[in-house]
Amino acid sequence: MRIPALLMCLLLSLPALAQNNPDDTIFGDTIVTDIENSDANPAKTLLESDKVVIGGRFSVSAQVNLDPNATKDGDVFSSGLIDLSTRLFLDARPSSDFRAFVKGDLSYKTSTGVNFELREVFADIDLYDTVFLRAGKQTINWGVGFFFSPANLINLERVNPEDPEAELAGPVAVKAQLPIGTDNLTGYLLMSDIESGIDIGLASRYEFLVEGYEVTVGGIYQPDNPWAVMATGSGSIGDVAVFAEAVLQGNSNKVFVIKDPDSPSGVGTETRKDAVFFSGTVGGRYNFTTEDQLFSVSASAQYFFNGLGYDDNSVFTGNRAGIAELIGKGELSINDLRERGKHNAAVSVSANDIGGTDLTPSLFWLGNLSDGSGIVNASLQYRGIDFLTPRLSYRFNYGPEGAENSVNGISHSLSVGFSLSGSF
Amino acid sequence: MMSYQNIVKQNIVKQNIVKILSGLGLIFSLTLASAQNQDFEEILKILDNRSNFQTDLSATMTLSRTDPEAGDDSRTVQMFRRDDDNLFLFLIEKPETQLGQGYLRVNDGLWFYDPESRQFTFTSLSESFEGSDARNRDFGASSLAEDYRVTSGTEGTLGNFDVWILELEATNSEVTYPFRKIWVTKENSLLLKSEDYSLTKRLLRTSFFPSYAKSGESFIANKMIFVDALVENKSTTITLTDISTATIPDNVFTKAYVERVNR
Repeated sequence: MRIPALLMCLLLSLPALAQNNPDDTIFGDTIVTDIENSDANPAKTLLESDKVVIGGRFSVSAQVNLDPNATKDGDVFSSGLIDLSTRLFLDARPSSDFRAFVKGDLSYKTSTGVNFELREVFADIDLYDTVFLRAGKQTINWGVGFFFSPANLINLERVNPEDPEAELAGPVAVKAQLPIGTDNLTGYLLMSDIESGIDIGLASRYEFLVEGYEVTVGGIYQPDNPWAVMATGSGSIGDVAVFAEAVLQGNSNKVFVIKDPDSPSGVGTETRKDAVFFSGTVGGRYNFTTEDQLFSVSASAQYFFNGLGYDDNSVFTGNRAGIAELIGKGELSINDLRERGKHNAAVSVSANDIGGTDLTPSLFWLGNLSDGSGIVNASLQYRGIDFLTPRLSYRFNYGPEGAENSVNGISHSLSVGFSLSGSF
Repeated sequence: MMSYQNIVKQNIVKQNIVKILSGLGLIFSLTLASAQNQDFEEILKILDNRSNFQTDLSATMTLSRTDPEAGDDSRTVQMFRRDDDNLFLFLIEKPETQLGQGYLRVNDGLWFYDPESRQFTFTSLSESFEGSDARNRDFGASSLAEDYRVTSGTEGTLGNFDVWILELEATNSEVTYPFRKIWVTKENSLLLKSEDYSLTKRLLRTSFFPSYAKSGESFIANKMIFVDALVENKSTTITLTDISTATIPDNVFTKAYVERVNR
C-alpha cells in the first residue's frame, strides 16, 4: 500500500503545490478590463498651457588645484569658485499652434559681478499641421560627431571635446521643417542684423534612412561667408554605434598663420577664400554591461581629419610671441587657433556606478596628432548624494611648448572639487 | 514464505499501481495529443494580432524601479503608439532632470532626443529603456510570430488560467533575447508570463503581464513586471493609466513635434 499511498499523496498535493507557486499570486481572477475612452487629446495638451512656465537649472561648483608645474607668476595651490550660474527658461503656450520660448544663462563672478547670456529666443508655429516653423535665435545641430563635428556648420559655437554634450549657441534663423514619413526636409534662412548688402544666408538639409542607417545631406550658402556641403551617417555595426561626417567648404573666412620672414615677429596671416577644404570624421560608441549589471563601461572614440588644420605646426611652436602679437593687434582671433591640427583624435572610457559603489571613474584623451600635443584627464566622481557631486581629477598636458594642447609645455595638475546642481 | 492473503494483497496493489499509472499515462497522452494537435505558430500570430492595436493608442506610463544597488526610483512617461505603421513616441515627464527626453520610433528608425543638447541620436530597439529592465522593443507592436519559432509546447496552469507553455527560439539576430519561454492563456491568447534567456540559455529576466486593457479585439498589458534574474530583488513595474484609443495627429510621430513640446 505504500507506493499507491505515496502516489495518491503526490497527486493530492499537486494542486497545493501549484497554489504555492509565487508566480500565481500575481494573477487575479480576471485580467481584462475595457478601455474607457475620454475626449482628452494628450498630444494637444502637451502643446498648450494656461500659464507661462518658468524653470531652469541651478549650479555651483568649486575646486582646489595643485599645479606642481606652476609658472613663476602662478601659484602651486589655487582654489575658488569655478561656476555660479542658473540657466533660466520661460515657456509660453497660449495655444497648440503658437509657442514662445526664451532661455538664458545668469551667472555671477565675484570679480565682474552678474552677467546674462541669451541662449535662445524663438517662436514656434505650424502651417496646416504640415510644415513646422521656428523663428528666432535657436540651436541648430547638424552633425552626428561626438567629440568633433565639422558638419555642425550652423551653430555659432563648436563642440568642446571636453564637454561634448553641452548645448551649442545657434544663430538667428527661420527654420521650416517638413516631415515626410521617416524623412525630414528642413530649410533655413540665416539672418544677421540688417545693415547693407545681403545679410541672409540659405541652408537646407534632408534626412533619410538607408538599410538601418540615418543619412543626412545638406548645404549652406551665405554671400559673404563660407559655403559648405555636407553628408553624415549614423547607425550601428553589431553592438557598436558608429557615425561619420564629410564636409566640403569654400570661401572660408578662417585666418591662417604663416611664416613671414619680412615681419619682425616672423609670422603673418592670410585667408584662403579660393581654396576648397575637405574635412571628415569617423567614430563609434560602445556600451558594455556584465550580465549581473554590476559593471558597465561606456567607450567612445573618434578620428577627425581637419582640412582647415595645419600640416606643419612649427609656425605656432616656434613663434609664441609673434602669435600673441597677432592676437593683440586683432589680426587673429582665439577661434582661429582652435582645432588647428590636421589630424586629431579623442577617446573616452567611463564606468558608471562601478560595482554598485556610486563611484564613476573616467579617462579622457584628446590628441592633436599633427603637433604631437594632447590632454589626458582621469577623474573619479561620487554620485551617491542627491544634487551634490564630489570629484577628484588628474590632468596631464603633453607636447611641445606653444602647441595646441600644451601652450606652456608639459604640465600636471591635480584637483579636488564639488558641484551642486538641481533643476527646478 | 508469503501467505496467500499477502500475495492477493500484493497483486491488488500492483493492479492499483497499473491502473493509476495507466490513468496518468492516459492523461499525459491526452495532454500530449492535445498539445500535438495545437498549431503553436498560429497561437503566436493570434497573440501578435491581439497585442497590436488597429487604432492609435496613448497612455501615461509609470515605471517604478526597485534596485537594491542603485536605489528605487520612478519615471512618468507619456506614450503614443500607432502599431499599424510601426510608430511610437515616448516623452519623459518625470523626473524633472529628464523632462523632455524622448524616444521616437518611425518604422525601423529609433531616435533618442536629449533636450539638454537639443540633439537626436539614432539608436537601437534592443537597448534598455531608461536603464530599466524593460527594452525599447517591449513597447512596440508584438512580432513574436515573425521573430521566433516554437520549439516545444505543453499545457499548464498559471494562477487561475489554463495556459499554453511555449518554448521559443529566435529566427533572427535582431531580437533582444535568443530564447524565450512564454505562458499564453488558452482562452484568449494573452501573454501572461515570459522567461527570457541569453544565447547560452541563461535566464536573464522574467516578465509578468497580470492585467490587460481591451478595446475591440485588441489588448494592451496595463501592468507589466520585469524581474531581473541576475540581480536579486531588482525589478521594474510598469503601469499604464489614462489609456485612450483616440486618433493621434500624424505630426506627433515626427522630430518636429518632439522639438515643439520640449523646453
